[in-house]
Amino acid sequence: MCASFLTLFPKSTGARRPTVISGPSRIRYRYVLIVVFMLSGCSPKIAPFSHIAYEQSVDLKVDSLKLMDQAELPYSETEKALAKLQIRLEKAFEFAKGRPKNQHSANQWQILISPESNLLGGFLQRWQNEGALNRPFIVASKQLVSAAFDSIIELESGKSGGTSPE
Amino acid sequence: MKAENQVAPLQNNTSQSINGLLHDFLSAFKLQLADELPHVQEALLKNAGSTFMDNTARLKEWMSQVASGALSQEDLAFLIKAQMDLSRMNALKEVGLTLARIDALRKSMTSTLISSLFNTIGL
Repeated sequence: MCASFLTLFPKSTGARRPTVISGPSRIRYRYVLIVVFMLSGCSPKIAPFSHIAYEQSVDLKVDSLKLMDQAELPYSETEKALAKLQIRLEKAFEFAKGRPKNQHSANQWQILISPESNLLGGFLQRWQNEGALNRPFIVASKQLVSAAFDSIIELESGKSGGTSPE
Repeated sequence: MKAENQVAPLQNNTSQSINGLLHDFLSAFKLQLADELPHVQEALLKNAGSTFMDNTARLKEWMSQVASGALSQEDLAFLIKAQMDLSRMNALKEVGLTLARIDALRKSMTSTLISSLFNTIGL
């Protein structure tokens, strides 16, 4: 809770009296002050919903899963498409990182696309290192990457202005 | 002396108004909390439960695929680490959604306060 809220209701009301404002005006003046403290002292804890971020996540989920499905083919055959996808993923991460009070979403993107982690970034890295991957591994990885994108999408839609965070 | 006697009832009126406002606001806030908290608790329990069930089901499936030779030990190690990364992402999601709930609660508190103010002033 905001610290300013604690200052709204002092124990003693008569210790210091304003000399200029008096009577009913003074009462209204106090009410206005209370509201001003309440509204100005409390800034949102998390960025509001962004339609751009939401759309970006959904598009990238569909395109990433489609490309992952081709990982049985040699990496060199899909290299151009993968390079394009990686640029779009980087852009989405930078967009999330640049929004104020959005570090949770930015951290999610970082985990998803980092080659050191084992989600999308790690999968693409492994595909590049090994040339091609086997079908059961691709299917299992796709489930995890799909759930990871869902996690990003659910957080975005749960923000203020999106759908309810239930 | 006369002026001081006139100020005293005004001060009493002010503190009565503020006490009334505080009482109205706290009553409304208590109702909002009672309404909101079970939803938060329910959502957290549901998420924790489904995450655990998902993890167990996936692990079982991977183990059987390793046994049948469809997945290698290296694949299994990779997937388990991926599952841990996913859990980290879900934890971030839960923290973010909790902050969004706090923001929503604070917004409704502000509007409750404003309507209590209007009721007290008599507008």
